[in-house]
Amino acid sequence: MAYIGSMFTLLLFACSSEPAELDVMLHTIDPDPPVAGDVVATLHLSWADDGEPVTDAEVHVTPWMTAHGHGIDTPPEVAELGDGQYEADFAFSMPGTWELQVDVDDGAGQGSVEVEVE
Amino acid sequence: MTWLLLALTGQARASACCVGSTSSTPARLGRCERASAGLMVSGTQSQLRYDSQGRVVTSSMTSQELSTLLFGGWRWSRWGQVGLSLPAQMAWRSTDLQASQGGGLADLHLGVVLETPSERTGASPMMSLGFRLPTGRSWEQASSPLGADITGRGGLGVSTALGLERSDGAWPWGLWASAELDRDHAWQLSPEISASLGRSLSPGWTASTALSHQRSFPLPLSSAAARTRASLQLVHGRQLRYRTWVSVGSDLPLGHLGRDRALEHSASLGYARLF
Repeated sequence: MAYIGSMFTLLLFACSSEPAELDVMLHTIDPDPPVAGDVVATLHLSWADDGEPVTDAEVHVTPWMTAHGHGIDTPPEVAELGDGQYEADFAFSMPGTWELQVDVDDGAGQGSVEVEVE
Repeated sequence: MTWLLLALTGQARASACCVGSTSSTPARLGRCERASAGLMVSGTQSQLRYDSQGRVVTSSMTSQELSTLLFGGWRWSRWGQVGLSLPAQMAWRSTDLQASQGGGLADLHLGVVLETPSERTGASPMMSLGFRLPTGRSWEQASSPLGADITGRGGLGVSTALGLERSDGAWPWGLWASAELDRDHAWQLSPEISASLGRSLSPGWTASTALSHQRSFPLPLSSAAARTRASLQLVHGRQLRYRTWVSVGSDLPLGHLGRDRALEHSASLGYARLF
């Protein structure tokens, strides 16, 4: 399986100062299946409480190699495509299981999705 | 792992000279040796990996590394020694789409080894404490998209090991349990168990084999990377003069012996001047 498509949630909504829960889905990735090196990933982001797509937001994506405890040297470039879709351009530095951690509007919402890099 | 390779070097040598002394540092000294200085050259190649399910699959990235290790050690008493190692490495990595290379100074290691050899039983329990200093280039400082210029963890590492070593006639053996705690962007705990068995072939010559299993847990504890490795080593030395060795090792390409990391094959040559 090129990537794990199931959605992951990180944090629960508790009060206005804590991050809201995001549903993050890996919509497309190029190349598919993803390999070490340059990739372009399209993520679909929606608010978990009402399912509304995340729009007009400042989105940061952090690729994280969970098994080895490190990220990548150059942060992804993220562009909004509309209707809750965001395109992230970056490079996986090694094969393995990566987590794409998503943060919107400086902590207003957080979520993640796992990707298996061949 | 440098610790295991050099521990085995000393272990295999033990039957030819002073029994029992081992080290978690590169300057591994026998009980009759006061100091050492040396160089080790290693090559590592990787084309397969354990995936997240523990299966052995072809990796999209091939990697070759060449590393050198300068080391020295000093024994201040029959039960204690200190060691220092300074590694440097060069790496070449490639995929179907891109390639990169990089290298430089890696992380410096300091270590202390305490041994309590027993003349009556011939067994030598040992304990070590090691520190890895972030002199290498971390992933945050790297610029290669494939990480070829990453040479260090980026944070302090502390390791400890407990071991039992003994030589039954011409058969030296050892059992060790070790753990390393280090910090890159996140803390990581890597426990390892290993065992070795050697055979003295003739005066000055010893062969040995070893098996080890290591896991690495990001903290707080979550899914672990793992590897299982086997190695063979041939050592030749003259007491208080020199020791030289050749070693080959490989992560075992069998399913469920590892997880979420590359399988590496390696070979190394080492030389130590002994005093």
